[in-house]
Amino acid sequence: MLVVSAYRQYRYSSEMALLSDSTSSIVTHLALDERELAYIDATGTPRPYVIDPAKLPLLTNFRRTVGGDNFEFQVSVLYMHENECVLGPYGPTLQEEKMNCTLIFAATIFENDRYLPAKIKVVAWRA
Amino acid sequence: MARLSCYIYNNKFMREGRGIADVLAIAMMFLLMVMVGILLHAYMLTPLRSATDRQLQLKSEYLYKTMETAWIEPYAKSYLKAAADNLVLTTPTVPGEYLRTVMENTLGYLLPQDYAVEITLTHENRTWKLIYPDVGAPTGKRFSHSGSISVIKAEAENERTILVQATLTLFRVG
Repeated sequence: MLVVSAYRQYRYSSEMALLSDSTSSIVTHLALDERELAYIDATGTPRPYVIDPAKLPLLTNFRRTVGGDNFEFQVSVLYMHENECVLGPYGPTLQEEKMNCTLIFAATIFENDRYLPAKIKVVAWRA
Repeated sequence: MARLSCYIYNNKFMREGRGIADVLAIAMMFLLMVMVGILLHAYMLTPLRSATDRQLQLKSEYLYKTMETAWIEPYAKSYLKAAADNLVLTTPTVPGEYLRTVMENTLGYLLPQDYAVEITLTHENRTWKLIYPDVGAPTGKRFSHSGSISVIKAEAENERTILVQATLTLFRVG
């Protein structure tokens, strides 16, 4: 009983670690790839870590394969402009019964011709 | 009769000896199972702790990049660039006190809960440092990201580019 329970706990924590790493990978892909959310400035130079809010509603694929496993995710961008503004969430409805991982990373958003500090929030779960 | 009683005694002794061996074997197996259970319980959080560390390392990198790219309102200058100006220029664009206040407000918004940050900029023997919240020097596990910021300094009729080393360290409070 003790060994079985310990093994189950071990599998659970390994699964959580995998989900955390996969969510980090999804965030990085979104924030660094100009084909996803990364901003391209007026000179045509991609600006990794800078989110283009105009690209958020254009995201259509909320499914990613990381290490051979399929994941679905929701993404939102939060930033301070007098009060906190929230863009999103974009993506499929969160499935509460499935184990999910929420990660919030600092980022920059290009809004009203200014680079503002922001947060990118991604919730991911196994598809 | 004496032979018979001796045979019974020996047989009983052998049976008792084998019984003890069985009990010892079962006890050893039980102990082994308990130890495996304890070891699994002790190490089961290791993958999760490692994943959290990787996540925090990535968070420190994102926070550094945000400080490098986001502008201080109402100036069109990034936080780290403004701090580098304050370190090497005699008349920086963003006043020092204002820079610290705005930077603290922004870090307060961006920082993960229960974590503090130390930002250090160095050039030659000069240092600019900010710890927010002000909890003293970092202790325990630290997650750092470094880079360099270039500042153009006007000298007589020439301009000189100075490279300032910047390091951002994320650490747990308490």
